[in-house]
Amino acid sequence: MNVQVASDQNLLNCYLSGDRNAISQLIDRHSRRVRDYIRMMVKDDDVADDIFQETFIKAVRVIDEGRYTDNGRFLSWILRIAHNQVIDYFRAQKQNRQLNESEAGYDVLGTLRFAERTVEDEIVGEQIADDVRHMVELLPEEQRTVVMMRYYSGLSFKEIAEHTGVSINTALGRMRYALINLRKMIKEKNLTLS
Amino acid sequence: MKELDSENATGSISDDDDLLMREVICGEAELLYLDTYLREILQKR
Repeated sequence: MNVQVASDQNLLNCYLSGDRNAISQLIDRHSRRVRDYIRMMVKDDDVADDIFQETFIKAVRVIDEGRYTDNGRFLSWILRIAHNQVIDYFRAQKQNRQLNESEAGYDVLGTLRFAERTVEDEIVGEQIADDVRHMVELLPEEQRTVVMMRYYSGLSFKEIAEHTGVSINTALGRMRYALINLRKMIKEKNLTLS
Repeated sequence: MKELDSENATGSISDDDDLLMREVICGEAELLYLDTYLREILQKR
């Protein structure tokens, strides 16, 4: 089989037919994008590696159990699993931090240090968020409208297209350009999002 | 997380999310990260 042109669906079918190699090839095909996303979210290579493994273990389990139906959305599905794993990680971190605060009652300096870091992090984080919100205001009107409708109002792309009187493709294109422009502005300001 | 686990389990992803991933994010991790970040900070307002 010519792996270079095999679609995700073909590789999945091969795997389900007994070709264990096919799943490795499928994972390799998408690993960079998945790993990059996880790494950006957690900002720790070791943690990112763990979450990356958990992501694909979970995915393979679903496939092995016959619960996955490929409809050309494999990468979207994998990224969604990775995203959920990252959210789980942050929730566990938050819970651990709350436990640590109560356990550190005897070490006043330690607790104070921890509390100060948290408050400072929050202040800096909020300042950066304010900067990014301001950048949204600087977007071209069409892009700004899509962003507002998507994030503030929680509208789907279909709804955004209907409200603005354009095709879904146009709405999607404006969203993409909005993100690209925001990314550019963020990099120009050397901001680190957290 | 039950809803998310169910989503993972069946391989389903909403049409809207699929459009986002395929036509907006196009596999670019930075844009996916930015989308997640914006969702967080803009919904907080």
